[in-house]
Amino acid sequence: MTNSAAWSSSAATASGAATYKVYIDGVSKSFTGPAGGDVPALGKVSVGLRDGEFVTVVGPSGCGKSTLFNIIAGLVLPSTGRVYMDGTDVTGRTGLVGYMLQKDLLLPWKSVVENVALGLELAGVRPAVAREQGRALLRRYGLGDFERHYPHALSGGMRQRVALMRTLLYAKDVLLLDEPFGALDAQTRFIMQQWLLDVWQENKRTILFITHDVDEAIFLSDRVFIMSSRPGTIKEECEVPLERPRTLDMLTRPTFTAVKARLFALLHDESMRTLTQQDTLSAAERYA
Amino acid sequence: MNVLAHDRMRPAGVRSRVWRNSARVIRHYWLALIIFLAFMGLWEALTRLLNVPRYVLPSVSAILSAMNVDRDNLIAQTGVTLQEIALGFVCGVAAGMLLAVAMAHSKTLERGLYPIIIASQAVPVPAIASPLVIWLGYNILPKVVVIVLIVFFPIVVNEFVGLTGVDPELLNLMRSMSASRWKVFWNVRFPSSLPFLFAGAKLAATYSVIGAVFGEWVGSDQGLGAYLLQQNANLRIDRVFADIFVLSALGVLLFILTGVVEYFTTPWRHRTTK
Repeated sequence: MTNSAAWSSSAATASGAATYKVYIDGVSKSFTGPAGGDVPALGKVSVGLRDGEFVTVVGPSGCGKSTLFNIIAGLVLPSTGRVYMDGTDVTGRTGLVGYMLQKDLLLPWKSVVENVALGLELAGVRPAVAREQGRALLRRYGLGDFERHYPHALSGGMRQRVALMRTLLYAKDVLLLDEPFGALDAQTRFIMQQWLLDVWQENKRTILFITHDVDEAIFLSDRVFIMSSRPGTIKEECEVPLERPRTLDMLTRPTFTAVKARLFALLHDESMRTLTQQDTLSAAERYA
Repeated sequence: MNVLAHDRMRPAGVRSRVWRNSARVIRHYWLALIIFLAFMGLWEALTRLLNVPRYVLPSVSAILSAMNVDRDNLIAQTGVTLQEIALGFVCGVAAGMLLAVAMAHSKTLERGLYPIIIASQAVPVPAIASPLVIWLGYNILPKVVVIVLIVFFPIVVNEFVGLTGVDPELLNLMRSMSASRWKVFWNVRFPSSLPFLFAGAKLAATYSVIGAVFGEWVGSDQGLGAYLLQQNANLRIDRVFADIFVLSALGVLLFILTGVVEYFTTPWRHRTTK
């Protein structure tokens, strides 16, 4: 396991930006607090994601994981640092990544197929064409019978699958998934994890995943990053030494348990630290 | 066939659908019907028993008879008033929506216009009706303006709430896909504002009747409001009440009509498939 202190951002920037699919260089974020002072949300983070890699970030509540995502997606400008994609500086530019949250955020007034096609339609693709592609994707993954249904007629798990298909169809190489299965029950969550891996194997995008669940992190990813409590920095990075495709029996292997023990201890450490912190950011401040 | 409907097989066809819907209305609103009929019955009984003079309070039967005798006239006057309401309502809704959309997309406009919009409602309608007739003439225009004044307010307030009350995470999602402000409006803000818009429209539809009456009182010899004044002057109180009955029925009908439009424009609230 490597320590992120080994990262030297200044020397690595030029080469780093070029060799990685996504390169986050010294990104941090502070918001202006209600009293006028600086509220640090994210400490200096430098991370490189290789093309087609599945990386998970685990961290205690409020450590700045979602802020990091918003910065990569271009929704929030970092206070320091830059974001590079395919070697180009894309800081502050939206529309370059697929973005998915815990809420499915499906539009209630559009049918399932229209929701899946939403990203494409917004990008200017003709609705009929976009919908045909959406239909294909829905059929491919077993939801073909529901294409004309409204979202409220579907279960939570189905809605998240539709949301993931919308994200996939938006056809970006990089996907940011912020606790997409957090609102689902444990059984559905596990089925969704396996489904996500199947879909990822087929499409091989670069995925950056956020979760609280250490099991989920290890099961899904190639690498796991542990973030410290607020202001979050990368405390530890860990390679997951399990082969692909991942199977159920791996959950009880000694390798799995060893990695889990280490990560859990680190995470628990940081979570305890979070509990004693006084101020937290409201949603309004986060989306400023 | 909608497989989520319950299992009883029902005959198809328009006639049986009308029959079924009527049966459902009675099933849902039986209490309102009973209260209404009881009230009418009490009215009829009391006016007869206490021998109340016709020019003070006519019995229900006298009112219905007056309605029947003068029905051609009443229908004509209803037509006139309906014209004013239709025009005023459409213009009021259009104005209200335009203002709401403008304010929702510009903080400056919101802060500049909202206080003025609220202040406009403090103006008593009967008071402003007279100057309007003097300025605009003895035609349909002053009545339409009065109705617009009354109608646009619930529309603006409700539509503004609907347009701005969108989940910020949803807006963020749209931004992450580089959606333009127009696309966000058309795909997200406007559809999500429809329930609010119709709530405002139902209020507006009902109040527009009052607006028409006020407008006619000051500047008209046609329409249900004018008819009311005329019959009152002649002490034909039975016809006055006939007029009031017709006005009430009009208000209720417009409310229901708005509900019907809402039903067909927001299918996702009661259907499972598109």
